[in-house]
Amino acid sequence: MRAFRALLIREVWSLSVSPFSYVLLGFWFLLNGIFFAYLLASEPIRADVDVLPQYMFGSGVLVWLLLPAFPPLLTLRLFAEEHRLGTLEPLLTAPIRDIEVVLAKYLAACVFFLVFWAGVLLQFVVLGSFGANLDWNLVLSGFYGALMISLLFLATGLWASAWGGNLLFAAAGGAALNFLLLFLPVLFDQQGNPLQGIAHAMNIPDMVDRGFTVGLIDSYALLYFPLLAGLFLFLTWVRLVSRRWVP
Amino acid sequence: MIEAEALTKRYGSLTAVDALTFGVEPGEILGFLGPNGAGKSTTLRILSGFQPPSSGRARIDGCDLQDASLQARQRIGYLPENFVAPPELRVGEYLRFRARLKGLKRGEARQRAARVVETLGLEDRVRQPFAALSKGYRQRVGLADALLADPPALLLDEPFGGLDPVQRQDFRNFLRELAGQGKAVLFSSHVLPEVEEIADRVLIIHHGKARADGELARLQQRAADEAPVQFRTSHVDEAFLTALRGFLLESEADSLQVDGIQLRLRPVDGARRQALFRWLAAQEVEVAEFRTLTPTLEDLFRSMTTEARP
Amino acid sequence: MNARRFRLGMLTLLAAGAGIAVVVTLLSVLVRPEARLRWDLSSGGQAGVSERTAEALANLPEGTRAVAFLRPEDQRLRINGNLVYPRAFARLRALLEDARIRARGKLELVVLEEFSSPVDWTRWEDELEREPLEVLILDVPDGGRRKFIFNELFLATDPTPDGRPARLTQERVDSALGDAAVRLASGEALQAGIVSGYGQPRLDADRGLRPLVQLIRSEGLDTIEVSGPASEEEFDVLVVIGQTAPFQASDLEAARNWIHAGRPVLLALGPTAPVEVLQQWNELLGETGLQFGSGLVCEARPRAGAPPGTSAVATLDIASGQLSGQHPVTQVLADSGRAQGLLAARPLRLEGGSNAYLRTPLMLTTGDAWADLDRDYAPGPGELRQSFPLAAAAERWEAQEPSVAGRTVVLGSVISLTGPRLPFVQEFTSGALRWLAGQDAAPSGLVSLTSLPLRLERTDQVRITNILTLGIPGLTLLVALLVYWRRRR
Repeated sequence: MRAFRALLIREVWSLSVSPFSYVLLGFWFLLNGIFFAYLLASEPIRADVDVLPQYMFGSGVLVWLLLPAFPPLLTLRLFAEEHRLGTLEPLLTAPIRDIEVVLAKYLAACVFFLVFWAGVLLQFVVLGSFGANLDWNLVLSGFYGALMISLLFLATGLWASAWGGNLLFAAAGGAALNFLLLFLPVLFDQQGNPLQGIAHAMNIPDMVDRGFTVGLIDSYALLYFPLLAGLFLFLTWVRLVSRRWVP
Repeated sequence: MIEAEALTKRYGSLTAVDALTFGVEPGEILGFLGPNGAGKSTTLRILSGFQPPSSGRARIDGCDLQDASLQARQRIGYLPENFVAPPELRVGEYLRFRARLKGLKRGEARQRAARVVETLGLEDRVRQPFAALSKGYRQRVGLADALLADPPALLLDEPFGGLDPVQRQDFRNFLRELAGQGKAVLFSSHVLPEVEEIADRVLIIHHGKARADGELARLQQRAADEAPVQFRTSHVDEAFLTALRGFLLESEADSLQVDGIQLRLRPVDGARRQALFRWLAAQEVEVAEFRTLTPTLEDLFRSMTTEARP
Repeated sequence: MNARRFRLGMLTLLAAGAGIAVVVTLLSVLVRPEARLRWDLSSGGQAGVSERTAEALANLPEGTRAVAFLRPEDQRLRINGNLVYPRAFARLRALLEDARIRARGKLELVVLEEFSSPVDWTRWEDELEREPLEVLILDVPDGGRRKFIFNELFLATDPTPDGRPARLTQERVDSALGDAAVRLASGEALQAGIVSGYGQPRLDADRGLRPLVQLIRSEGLDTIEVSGPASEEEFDVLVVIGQTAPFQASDLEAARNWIHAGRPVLLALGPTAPVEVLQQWNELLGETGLQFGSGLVCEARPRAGAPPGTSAVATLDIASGQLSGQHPVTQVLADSGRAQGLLAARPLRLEGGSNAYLRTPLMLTTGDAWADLDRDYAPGPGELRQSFPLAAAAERWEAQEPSVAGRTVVLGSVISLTGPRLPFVQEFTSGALRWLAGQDAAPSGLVSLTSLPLRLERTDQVRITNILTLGIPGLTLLVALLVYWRRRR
């Protein structure tokens, strides 16, 4: 447990002192800021600011384009970069369980990604301070939904990162996987498609647009993301221990 | 303390480590000697738990590296060949993190980190990020890391790489001190003097195979036995050489080098050397000089590693 | 190396297979509607369907389908921008999805969107006999079916000539769905008998009563056309709109018995109704105390350009304040600030009647109105400006079985209920029908969809934009530089 805590702290610390994280963070804030300002300038949104959480935490084109791409950029440093630099060897020969390594790194990425979303939340706070009459329940429930999706996308990113020292693969592979998870079910969730039942159960935009961002929390959506994230963490762990097990 | 049993590592058709068996007892320093690519680093990686062997067993303090990897790793201080720490971390931060990672309590971790920093002369680098360090200092950080948790077994891959002569001396003394405290030390090197100076025992490895394993003194004796002799005679002519060749065994004749009146050859053992001396005395020529060349580990290393491959 | 790669690959595949199997098994259990828990975190608590609706839907027979036809069809709502449909459809989808899950698997949800395959559209439209403007059809396997038109579920403001687009203000999907489910589950719908034998507008004409018939149906009542109250047919609500000839003896007798028995009546007679008809009905309704007055209610409104002396003064705007906030029929409208529009109305009088009845004016004119008797469209000597009731309701005072006892709604306008004028009083009419059918127990089903609009000063807007696009990212950059500088020192 002490090793786990040490690694968690070191990963968060590393993320928070690395210039690359700030570049990512700044870019994220900038794009979200532009999008938010753009929304505020549009008449329908101003007529009803309660739809803002829907656009910022779901529904919005920007969210669906940015969200799958950013977590892998954050997680690529967790394994792939360590592998490339050679810092993985000292880590894995230290007396720490592989599962602790996986969880500590994952949790660190989650903690740091919380900052990403906190920035978006801050945008709402700014708007609120200018007298907008926001329904904070909707804002927070949308925020929560966004965190849930991030949970999954960070896990896939971690998995992609554990495949070796190729940073491009870690980033592009993770993003591609996330895009697949996001859009493939949407594609099949159509009337008359024989796979509709399965696709609907995996339809992430649906869970967000008809769930979190309108204030409806469903136990299935609440468990879908952690379970799937758990699956990818498990695969990351398998990847790590198989290196120790398989001669 | 450190045990390897028929350790084998194959990469496809290449056998990097071939049925290596050896042990390092507490208080012993084993020098692991071999040219580059001989399989030293692979062996150390297996012993550190980073890689599994293709076959064979490795144990640290009785803990099998595959069945009880975590326990085994708790007993190891490992310095990888090209040690790198996360570049963004400061040396002090890194060492404190590693100490915590190895299970030390917060205060203890700070103390130990300060101690190894002092031992390795890193005091004025503590606030520098790892990326800003020179090769030598990086190596020292790695050593500091390996020593942090005061492990009973030390696996050091080329530990003298980045040290200057003074530090080398200090570090040798330090290693001896550690061995004196009952630690088992296994270090690899391809530089002979350092091994010669501090190792109690040397294991020479070439193409994955162990070539010699024994007390340094015994090895040196063996080397002395095989050491070449050099002698000078008043004159050297065909008759003398023919007679000499007649006396020499086939392998000895092959090693014969003639340089004017100076000759050099390698007797098969000590008895033959004495026989040669007696034979020379019986000849007409006057022997101006007859001496056995001082055998160095270098000789041994060369003779073993240049053997025909199996 | 290759052998190791292979073994690594196999192990990974095996583990992946096992992991996926476990996760899929878990998820397939969790995804079942019975296994789900749902929480509504929205501050209004109206993000999903109500407990009542969920319960009603869960009681429907297996195989009930809700088919949503999400295609913008009313072009009027798209003038000056499309603020209504996307929002409305998003809301409808969210509620239907919630309904589907909360109905514990009883409800099959089919959503057809604009981009869905035309084949599917045609198939479902044919199968469910969809009419234009219907957005939702609830279909029960044994043949019960309830159709909802867009305006029934969503309330929108009209686009204005000065360029403001139509805006969605409220919706009542939940209550409509709940009502329909209750009625479909009970199996039998109430029958509305629409009298057509005495010169009423035609029931099958678009400019006649066809929209009203549709509305009655969409409120969950079945309709039958009857020649008069004495018809052999069974029905539960008597609907008489725009009668132009007096009842014959048998029908008069039947009507008298009907009213005496306290059965529900919806009656509308306009300014052009013949005196004999008026006398007959005033006599029939004597006990209830609802009486038709004489004349055409006029109201000159300074701003809307209806100067006295033109027939435009007969167009009446009924602001929400002129609707009764106490009566179930109009309470929702009054509370939610919905205006109604009436054309060519006869004033009503609430006088006489028995003490057994409770009478309420539902719709009043302003105090500036007058009942025009001489057709000069201007207030004359005998035409005093005063407030007139335009619609009124009565019901029996004592609670008794059935609960609808004596419920009567009278409206002084016929044109307003016909053809293209119906939308202006549709909500009132819906309310009246629901009340007559005994549906007033349900709380207001209207859910507000608008929050207070954001009004930002130009300078504030610029300031927010600056903070969002320059301030926050800039601050991040600053922190990055600070960290970099601190650690390089």
